[in-house]
Amino acid sequence: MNAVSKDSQAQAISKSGVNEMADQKIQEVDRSFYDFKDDESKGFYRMKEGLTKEIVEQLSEEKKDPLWMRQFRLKCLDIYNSLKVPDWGPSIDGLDMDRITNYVRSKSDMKGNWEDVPEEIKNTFDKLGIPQAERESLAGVGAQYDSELVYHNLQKEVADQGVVYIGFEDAVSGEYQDMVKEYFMKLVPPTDHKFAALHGAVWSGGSFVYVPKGVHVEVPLQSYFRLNAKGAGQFEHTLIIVDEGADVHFIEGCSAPKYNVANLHAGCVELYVKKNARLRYSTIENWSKNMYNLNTKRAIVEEGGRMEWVSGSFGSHVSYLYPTTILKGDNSHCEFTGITFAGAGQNLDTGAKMIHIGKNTSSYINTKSISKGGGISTYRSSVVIEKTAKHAKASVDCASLMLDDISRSDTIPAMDVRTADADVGHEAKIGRISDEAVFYLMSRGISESEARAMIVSGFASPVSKELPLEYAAEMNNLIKLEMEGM
Amino acid sequence: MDRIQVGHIPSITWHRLKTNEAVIEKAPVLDVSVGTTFAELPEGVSVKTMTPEEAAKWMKAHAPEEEPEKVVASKQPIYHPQAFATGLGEEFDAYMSRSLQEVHLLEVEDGAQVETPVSWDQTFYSGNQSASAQIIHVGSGASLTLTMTSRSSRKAHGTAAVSTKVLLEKGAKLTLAKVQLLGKGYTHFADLGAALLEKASMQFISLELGAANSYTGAQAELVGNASAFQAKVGYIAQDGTSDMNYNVVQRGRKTNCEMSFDGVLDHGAVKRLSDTIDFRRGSKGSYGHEKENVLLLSDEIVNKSLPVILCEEEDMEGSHGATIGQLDKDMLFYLASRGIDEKAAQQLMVRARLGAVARDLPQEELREEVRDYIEEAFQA
Amino acid sequence: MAAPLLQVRDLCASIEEGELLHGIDLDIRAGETHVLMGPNGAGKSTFGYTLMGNPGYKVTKGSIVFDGEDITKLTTDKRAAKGMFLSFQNPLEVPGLSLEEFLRNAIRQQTGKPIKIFTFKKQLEETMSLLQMDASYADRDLNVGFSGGEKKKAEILQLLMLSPRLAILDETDSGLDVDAVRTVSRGIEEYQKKKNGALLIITHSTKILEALKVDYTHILVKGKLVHTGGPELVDEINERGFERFTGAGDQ
Repeated sequence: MNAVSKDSQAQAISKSGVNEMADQKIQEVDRSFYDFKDDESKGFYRMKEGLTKEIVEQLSEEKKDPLWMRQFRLKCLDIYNSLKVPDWGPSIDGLDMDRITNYVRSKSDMKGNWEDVPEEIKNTFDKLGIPQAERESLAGVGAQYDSELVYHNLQKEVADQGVVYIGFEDAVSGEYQDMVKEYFMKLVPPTDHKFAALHGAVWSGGSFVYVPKGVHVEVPLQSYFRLNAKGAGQFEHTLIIVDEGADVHFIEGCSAPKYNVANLHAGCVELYVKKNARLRYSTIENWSKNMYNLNTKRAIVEEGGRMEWVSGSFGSHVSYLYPTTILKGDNSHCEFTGITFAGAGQNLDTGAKMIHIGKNTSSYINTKSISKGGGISTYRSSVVIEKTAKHAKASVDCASLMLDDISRSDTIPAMDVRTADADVGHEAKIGRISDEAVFYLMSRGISESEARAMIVSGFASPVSKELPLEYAAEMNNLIKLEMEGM
Repeated sequence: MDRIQVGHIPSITWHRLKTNEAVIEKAPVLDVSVGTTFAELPEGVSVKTMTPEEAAKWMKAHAPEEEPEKVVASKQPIYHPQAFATGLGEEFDAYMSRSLQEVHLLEVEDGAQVETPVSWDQTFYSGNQSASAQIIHVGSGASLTLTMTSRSSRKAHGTAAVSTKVLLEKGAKLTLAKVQLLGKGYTHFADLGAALLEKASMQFISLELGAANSYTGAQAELVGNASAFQAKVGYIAQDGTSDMNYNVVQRGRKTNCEMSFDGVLDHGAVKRLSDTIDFRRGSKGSYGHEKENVLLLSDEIVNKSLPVILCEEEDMEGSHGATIGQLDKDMLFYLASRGIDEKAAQQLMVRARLGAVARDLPQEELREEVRDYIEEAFQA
Repeated sequence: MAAPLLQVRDLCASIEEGELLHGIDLDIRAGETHVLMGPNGAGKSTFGYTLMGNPGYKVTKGSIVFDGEDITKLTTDKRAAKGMFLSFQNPLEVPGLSLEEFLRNAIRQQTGKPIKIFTFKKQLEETMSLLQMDASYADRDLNVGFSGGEKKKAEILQLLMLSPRLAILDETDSGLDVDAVRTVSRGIEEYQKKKNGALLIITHSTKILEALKVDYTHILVKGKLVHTGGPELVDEINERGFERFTGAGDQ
């Protein structure tokens, strides 16, 4: 531990003692808690910056990829080079791909026992409340530090049910390689967009989860991503297959300390929800404000299946994030609940996509966005009802709150309906904290700033109550700081 | 033959959805100017004919000075450099100015309260590729109700392109109704650009009932404080394309915008609506509301909607809502319990929806004509 | 005695979530007034919807015979054309369609004949004045912006204009003030007397029944008709509530 991180540790402790702060006000997410950095000078392996064929080959070598994976990576690199960055959405000009190190790992192998994880890394995760959270309420935990998974553990009872939760790299070469080969980047093909191709070329780390038929995992599984290295990229791959009639809740948390150079996160999440299965996927994203978060998440749901997304976007400098659900099977259903809070220096472009293919499919999107201190939040979505999706129902409900007049909030929802036998509803609202509401609360003896904080908290509550607060100490901290202003 | 893009929303989204704009691959050369004859004009109203160059000069001299756009977001929104912004945008404007031989300027004197509605009717003849353009200038404190109806014989075909620019001075009031009753073989373009100064208000009624393909758009710039724009749009698309592009830019304080779109899609109709409410910094105390209702009658339709709200002001209130689908089951049951079967209920609802828009037309004869037109369209 | 106008036999009906009516028998003859009472959630509205053929309510067993014809599978509009009417608890709003235009359409559809405008207008005016409705309501969009009371009056107006042979009135008195109840009740009385109409009045209050001649009272509990009595039952319920009957549904 160097001096910087000790300082911030001390700060973190004093922060938690600040709860009793008398004058509440809505503040931006207090980042200092996450901004401690680990010393990278010793014991770390860092690849050269930039992206070339040599680097991809070297990475593949390092990863001991099977041949098909090595070829896949190289194909993705070609695709990456052939695709343009999007001309819509926030600018990513600040992201210089030649300066991003695509692969950083500590000189440590993945551990199955927390005690064996190197001290610095352990300290980091300890500070973030992991695996304390595991001890309390999680069925399994994976922790990724920079580009590598450093820790992975699954409770015995859950493993005994046949649930697989392992590092993705192990899955590629181990027992489950056939399954991986069948599903890997089939839902998100590298041709999808430039950063999906980048992911295909340089992915490392991530998780593989398989829940066998009919198995209900009672407590959530969690993956935690921490990007510590400066100017690095994180490209973890998450593949989850929930077999017929099974049920699981997966939580992912992300954070990184702040550096003054750009970091990149271009992960990829592929979710397969089989017949009558249910998957809840919760994300609490709190990357630092130098992060370009260009993440791709997609789920495909078979007959009678149910997909639930809960998504909190608090961090990052720039985000492009639109979890997509393909409702392929008849009677499949999806719910998306999301909140985005854009503070100073943040341009967060988030939302969801729904594609209805099966009959009687239904989807519901419910989002809240908040803009403050010059932050830009954009709600972007698309709802597509294909001709085959007879009797489909889709509804979108998005609300935005402007907390001052130097920020920006845009709402860009698209709808495409191709059958008459559909019922599509959309509602969007934008506004500010009403003076009357503040006056009402103040007339009951509440200070103005407290009143405003209460109103924001109320605005966010339909979403925040869906977030698995009790599982992640980090999220708890965030919600408190942000919404209640404590 | 030109390739032109119609529509220019400031914040685009995924291209693969094809909701950002429409493209006319081969826009025909417009070589016929549509003549206009007025019955006696009321006092205070005058019409004169100008060359396109004179019109451009006039616009430059009279249109409010444009403020340079201050864009907060790094890449978007993208504001287009059209001199006097219209709904269909720059390329359509350029296409028109290449074709036009004359532009009519209709002016209402300052303070003139014109009680009788003025009709500006245009008849289009089969086989013609026609263009027409007009500027409507309502002076300070003046008011005018104007209906512009486009007609042709039922079986006629051709192109009818109309560009209308509106300038409302302080406290001016304009009700502008555009009714399109063209034959089934037409491609119709109707573009509108409007600038509203302080306390000016405009009610815009658009009924697109005929033509094979229709591309319409409006941009309203609420420049002055307390200016207001209201749009009521009704359309039927039974086949072919119905493409709508509406942008309202709220710049002044306490500006108001209300837009409603009510439509019916049948057979193989392909419809796209993009509409944007854009609250600029400084538009304090403003509101902007939009709602869309689409009744789907066939399984071959395509309905695309992109209702956007852009906002860089805290003190405002905005909303949009959309309901897209078939007739509501409860409604069908209610009507059935009074003996009205599904087919009849559908016709009734089509008439009701468009009737609700048509009832704002100022002339009873026109309201009746529209009713009959709808009746006939849904007879088969 | 003449054959009943409405004959319901062992009627069971379900919605997606499960069965709501479990074997109902009921006869209503021309000119009779039946009152259907029961605690909340007993299935009173469901019964009305099922009689009228709401597609959301599936008949799983039993039959409905109207005027000697089995109508169990008939669509709602055909039932209406045969002379059945249901007044809604929450009438739907139809922007763009005036009350008068709607009535004309409904009459034309039901009779299949063109309407004599003069006679229609006169009848409409008279009926509206009987119901103390302002004449301007004829031109207003159906139910749009109507208050609760006005909506209920508009339902009774439709009842009188359409002159069905059997009218099912679902909570027509709920949410009305004293004056409005009196007016609505007068409308129903008119239907009873002048048109010799049969009535099934679904209600859980008794205010509306004061001025009306009631022949039978039925108690519906948990989807079953547990008791049938005369008009005196209304007063009993009024005083003592449903307590005496609520256990019966479980048997």
